[in-house]
Amino acid sequence: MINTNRRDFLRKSVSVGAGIAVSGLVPRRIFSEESSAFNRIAYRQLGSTGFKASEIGFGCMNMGDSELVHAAIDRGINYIDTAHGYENGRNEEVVGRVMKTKRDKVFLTTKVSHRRPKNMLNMMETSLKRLQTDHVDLMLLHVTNSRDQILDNDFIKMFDEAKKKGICRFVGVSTHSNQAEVLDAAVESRFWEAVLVGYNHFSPPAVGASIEKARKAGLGIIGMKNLLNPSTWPWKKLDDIRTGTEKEKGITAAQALIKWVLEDQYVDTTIPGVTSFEQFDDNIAIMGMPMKFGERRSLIRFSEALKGEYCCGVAGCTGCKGQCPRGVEVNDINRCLMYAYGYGNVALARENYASLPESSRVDVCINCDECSVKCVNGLDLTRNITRAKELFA
Amino acid sequence: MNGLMLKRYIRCVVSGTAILILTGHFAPAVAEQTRFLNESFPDGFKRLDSVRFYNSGNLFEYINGQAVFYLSYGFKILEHGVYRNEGKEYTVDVYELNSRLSAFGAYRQQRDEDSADLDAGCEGSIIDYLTVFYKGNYYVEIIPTTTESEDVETMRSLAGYVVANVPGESELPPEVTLFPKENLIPGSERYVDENLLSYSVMGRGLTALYDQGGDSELRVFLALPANNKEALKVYNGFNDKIKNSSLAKLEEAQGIKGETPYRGMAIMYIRDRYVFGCLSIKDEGAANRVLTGLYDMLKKKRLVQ
Repeated sequence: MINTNRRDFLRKSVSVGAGIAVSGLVPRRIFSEESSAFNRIAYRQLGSTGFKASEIGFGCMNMGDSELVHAAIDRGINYIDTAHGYENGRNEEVVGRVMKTKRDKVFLTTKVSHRRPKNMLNMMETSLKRLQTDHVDLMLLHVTNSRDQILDNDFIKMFDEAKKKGICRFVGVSTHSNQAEVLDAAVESRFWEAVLVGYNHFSPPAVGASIEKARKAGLGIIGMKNLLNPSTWPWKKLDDIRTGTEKEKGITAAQALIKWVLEDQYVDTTIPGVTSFEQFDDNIAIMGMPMKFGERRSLIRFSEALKGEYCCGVAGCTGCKGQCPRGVEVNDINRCLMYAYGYGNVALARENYASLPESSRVDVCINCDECSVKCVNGLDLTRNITRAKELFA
Repeated sequence: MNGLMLKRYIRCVVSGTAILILTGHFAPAVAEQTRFLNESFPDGFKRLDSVRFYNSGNLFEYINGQAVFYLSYGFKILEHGVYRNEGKEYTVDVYELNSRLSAFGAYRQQRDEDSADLDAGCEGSIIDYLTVFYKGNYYVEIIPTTTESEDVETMRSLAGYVVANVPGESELPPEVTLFPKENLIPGSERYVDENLLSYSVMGRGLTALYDQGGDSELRVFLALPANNKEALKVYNGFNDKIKNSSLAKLEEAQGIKGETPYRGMAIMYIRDRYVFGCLSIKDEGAANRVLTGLYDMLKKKRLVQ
């Protein structure tokens, strides 16, 4: 599928891009007839690139085993994501060991950080050496979070130069926060060709709307953080929780969350992180599988259960910010309670509470019988403040 | 899904994700009190601002998905500071992990292969854009914030002051020394706290590479389950992955050999709470000699009966 000769691919990229530009860009699932005997692999057009990416790709971060990558590619996974900075470059080296023989079977993406703008082109060249290839398919500007970064002329010039030099075929950005603004700016730029975006069941609707807009404008959309915040949601726990009855087995909560993302037709592929064969098998198992009623219901109930019980700060909710006439930031109090009630770690809760400014501690609430702050999701803040008084005051 | 199951499901998910929902978006604790990162060090190092502490709930906010890597090594807390010296700036991150082995594992995974050795802690390495070392349960990174700050000697000096503040042993974790030295590829030992050989059933353990001629190395592994019962689970779990298997024996240790999908021929033995073996075998005799050496070390250290 991919030619590894720089001159050839540059020529072909132009013609493919022009062809796609007039073809309407309708994203859809394409089921592979030639896929392996294990499972049916589903593919989707990746924006305007002309490439059919497996709808679940391979997020290599934290993965140190090249055999996993071999296995993924052999089974039809063809979208590989790494970054210059992962494990200080070792991750690219692990992927590179596979690229030595399987480069032509995949769409290879890496990323460089904007923290050292003067050094970016050197970093890209270093990445190529580690990856044992003369080009990557997609080079991303890593961890962008504002319109200004996306429209920054210096970055655009540098990535344009990278394309002209044949370092990459396509250019894009990754965004972990402020996603809607970044997506909209990427469209506005008329330069970036793909966005790797944090997107999950708890994302605000604005992110979904901007994804649709960007995809319709021809940008490739790669979803990440499908399992919310991976640092605080261990895979093991997710794998232990299944939808369906024991007899039906069902799927794991992790699988259900990935399925939710894949339900969005404007997402071209996803890159859940994989560090074991078992996780990889779970991912393969749900490809091309529509979400069942029971699974959808479970996720909805899961979401409903969280509303009114837990603060949804992770989804970007700031609904209570600035509401308290005495200046207490209830989000902060909720966080401290979380350490006590979620982690079961009262010492940690108290430690965090102690780091809050005095003006934001519940001592200020001493004369309030009822909290005047209203949670947009119905969280009972009077109850939480009472708990906080008991625990911290 | 019946009502009871649904309730259980929701309860499990809610309790499991409560951490996530409430901790994802909050700032790290800023503290005047430091553990290891003094306000200043000799030779003109001045810390900018207060140190910041990150825990497992907000590490993600600092290093994003890379947090998963440290969490997989039992991450406890990170102390972060930025130092300036004659216009050059360096971030210093001190990660406390759950064991010496984890600090060793993180270091071996994160160091740059092209680095020079650094005399700091148990092992250290230095290259113009990165200095890393570990000591006791602590893994430390020093990174220049700009290319203009890339100065090996300045970083070496800073590393010297930081390492003096970090507690813990400056020797290799004892488990790492169990691998026989003959044909061992220097520096190839690795430790993971989970998913040994990329199988969750294998749990935590060590690997090391041995030269066996040609371009493929012999990969030796030593799983470190908590007890004999867990060891049996590991053994049986990996046994399921081996095809065309037959029995093997190494003195008192029972074993099995066969083919693996992506790692060629494998041999695995179990003795007490240790499961060890090797993959990508080209010469069975040579592989067994390495495993015999490993088994001898286990006996010598009285780790097996």
